[in-house]
Amino acid sequence: MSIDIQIKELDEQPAMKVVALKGELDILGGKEFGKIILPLIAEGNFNLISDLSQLEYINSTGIYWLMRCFSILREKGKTFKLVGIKEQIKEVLEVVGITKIIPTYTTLKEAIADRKGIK
Amino acid sequence: MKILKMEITPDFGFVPGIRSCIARVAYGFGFDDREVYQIETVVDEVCNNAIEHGTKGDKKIKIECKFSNRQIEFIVKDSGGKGFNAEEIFEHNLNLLKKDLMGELSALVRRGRGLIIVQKLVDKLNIKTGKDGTTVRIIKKAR
Repeated sequence: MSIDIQIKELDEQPAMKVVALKGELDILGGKEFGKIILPLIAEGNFNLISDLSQLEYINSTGIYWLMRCFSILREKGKTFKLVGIKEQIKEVLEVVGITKIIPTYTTLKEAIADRKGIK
Repeated sequence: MKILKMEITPDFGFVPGIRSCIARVAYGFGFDDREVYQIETVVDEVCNNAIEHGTKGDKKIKIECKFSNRQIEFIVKDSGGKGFNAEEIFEHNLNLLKKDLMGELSALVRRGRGLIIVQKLVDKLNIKTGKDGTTVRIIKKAR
């Protein structure tokens, strides 16, 4: 299993998209994710939420790709949020402090409702 | 004690199967879901490091797992790379983690979190490295 990536535009202003990841964000999945998401956010002008509720596994390479998204969006004055992280994945993210850097939420509704940082 | 040995050519494509295999076996030795996931993570990080940093041509990477009741010992040997100063790497990566938390963009977008993750999730971590390659030895015990 590698990674399945689905991108959806939300009916929100300012512009917001959700990228839902299903599977494993490891070296192989991360490469795939980077290939799809980086050009999108580099060229686009939207806030991004990553729905991780169906993500089964992440490693340090996967974390690197999430941090790249966060950095690029932050430089553009946009937000990047994580939603629905499974407990075991959350533990790994906490070990390297990611949950203190990238805002995390239990549900998509909460992530959308929090307008902090959204211009 | 049960022993599982593998020898692989350096190919990232092997790693998902290796980590799943070892994780499944670990269930039979007293580890719970959370600990098995941690084992899977550690196996993944160490194998990926060996493939990325420790290979010369097609020289194989050796993996050995020793399972006993409520304990796993996991050893990965590569024969490539130039060796590295493990302590320096750890210190460097910990400093980068601090910069992460301060929001320094240059620190955020870099690799190098893998060894920190491994160190935090295991009971013992030993790295021997030199011009003949690197051996990483890990012990993890079930709580």
